[in-house]
Amino acid sequence: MSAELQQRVERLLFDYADTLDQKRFSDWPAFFTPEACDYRIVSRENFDADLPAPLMGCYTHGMVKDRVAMLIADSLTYQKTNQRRYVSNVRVDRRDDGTMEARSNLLVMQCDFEGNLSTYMVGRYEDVIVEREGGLTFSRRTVIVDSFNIDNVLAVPL
Amino acid sequence: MSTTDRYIDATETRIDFVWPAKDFSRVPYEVFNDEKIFELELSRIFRGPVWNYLGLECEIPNWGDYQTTWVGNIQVVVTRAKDGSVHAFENSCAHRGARIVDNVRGNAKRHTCPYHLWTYNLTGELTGVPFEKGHNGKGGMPPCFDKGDHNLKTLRVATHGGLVFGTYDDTVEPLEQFLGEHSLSQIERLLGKRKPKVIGYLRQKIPANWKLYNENVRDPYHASLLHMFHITFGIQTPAMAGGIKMDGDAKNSWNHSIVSEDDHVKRSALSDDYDELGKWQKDLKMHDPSMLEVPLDLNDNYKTTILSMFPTLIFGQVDNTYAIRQLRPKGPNAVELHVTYLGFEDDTPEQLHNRMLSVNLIGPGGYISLEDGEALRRVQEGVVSRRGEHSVLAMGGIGEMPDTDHLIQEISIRGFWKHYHKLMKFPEAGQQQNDKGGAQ
Repeated sequence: MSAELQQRVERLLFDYADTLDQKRFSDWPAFFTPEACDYRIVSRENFDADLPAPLMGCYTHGMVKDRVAMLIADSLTYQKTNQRRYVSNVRVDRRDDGTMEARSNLLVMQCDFEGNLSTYMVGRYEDVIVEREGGLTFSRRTVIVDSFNIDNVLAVPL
Repeated sequence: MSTTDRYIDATETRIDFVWPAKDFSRVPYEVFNDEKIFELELSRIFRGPVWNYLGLECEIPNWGDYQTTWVGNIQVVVTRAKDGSVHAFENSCAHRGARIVDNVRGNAKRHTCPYHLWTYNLTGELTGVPFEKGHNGKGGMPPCFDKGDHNLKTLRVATHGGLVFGTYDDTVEPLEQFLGEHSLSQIERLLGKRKPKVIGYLRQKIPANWKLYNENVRDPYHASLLHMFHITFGIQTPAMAGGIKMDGDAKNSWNHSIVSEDDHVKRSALSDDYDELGKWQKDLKMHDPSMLEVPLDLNDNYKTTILSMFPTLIFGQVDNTYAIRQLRPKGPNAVELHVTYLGFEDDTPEQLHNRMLSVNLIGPGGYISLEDGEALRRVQEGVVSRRGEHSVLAMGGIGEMPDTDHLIQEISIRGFWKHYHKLMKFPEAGQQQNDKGGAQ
């Protein structure tokens, strides 16, 4: 694994985190491969027990778009906090078919509108990343959350 | 005098309000955040004459299977014994009180406390005390010590339709009677024809009192107002056929909406009611509407059915989601909503995929249900300072509590409070404050 590829993948992961932190929801679908993608947030409890139900599951690019369409249209009622995603421990491996596999840790902190801080989410990403038109996109992104007793709401993707 | 009686006596004198309306069209805000009331609920409701939901039989199919759950603030272990019977006992050692089982589920033929290795069988009986007779004539328990006096505290268990319930009370009516006719027929409708299988758990920490969630599920009035998704995509609207039915004493309710051919026409007629509200986003379309196009697999046109059973169980069906929701109170100001998401043993891969689509409607990330936690948070925060005041439940009429053939009502919420008030043994309602708005 070249240092350059490691850097490119890290940049992808950080750009993705920043897009959600900054609430640029309309930019989010472009991180996924349009032809075929799979995005899900699953609880560690279900993941470890091989139970298939996710907390959030988008199996087509249309479903990815819908997740943020509801946020962009401001059609859901939820507590709008300011979130920061901390992505670390990034490991990238090249797979036989030329795609990349990346694993990383995730910590999300949040503050409410009066500035009160709380830990929102702890988990990890397991990604499959492909080269596409000179850039990198996720063909699969699975977020496995250890903090699966969700702090009231999961409106904004992780 | 039992421990429970002493506990009640200790808290008896602290309750100093009178419920403001006899028809329960008013609810005093204290019940949502008062520590003393919460303590009283632990003894009078959760340890009182109710059947508490403990889990599903299919979660512990084999000898030795167990799982932990909660009854009020008590952690309970539910086990399957060798003879197939189901048992429930408190997860606290009879010796020094340590938690015995420290995971959510598993299989064990006996349970051993880690502290001094006291061992219990699957019915909660103490079977082993290390060094009970001492060693080399030294130490050991006194001759009067009898293991039979030191079993784990158990709940009496009953099952119906694959659901497991437990009670601390010897006088509570039989489970079937407690549930009532509508609950029984709905459990049969949802689980009777197929063998359920857990396909996932969802957990949500709601920063609100557990009774606010009970209000929420008995409140179809909010469904098409708080939840834009319902009205925009026609899942549940006030124009659809439907209504509520309550069981005998109104503590349990079943609200339902039914799909009809002309729903889209009837929905258009709601425009006048909604246009001013600015909530219905008529131009919002889904890029991938497949989750809205899943055929109802019970083929009975019931689009949404919410069966709410006192005190902590809700069995909800939204499209093809079958979800057992259990409330696990965490003090007066928080509740864990524990959702067991069901499929069925004979599901085809397509049916399972459809359930993976529909799960996006429910749980803490569900397009519909994520908003309930938010509404409840706002109530909990909104009422924190409002002592001596009360909420208003008058939609659908005051006074009597009839079933309705519509969903624009709050009557079934009043049914919950009526039973709650009775179990809490509060002073007779409506005698102190004469609220003109509430029927006396």
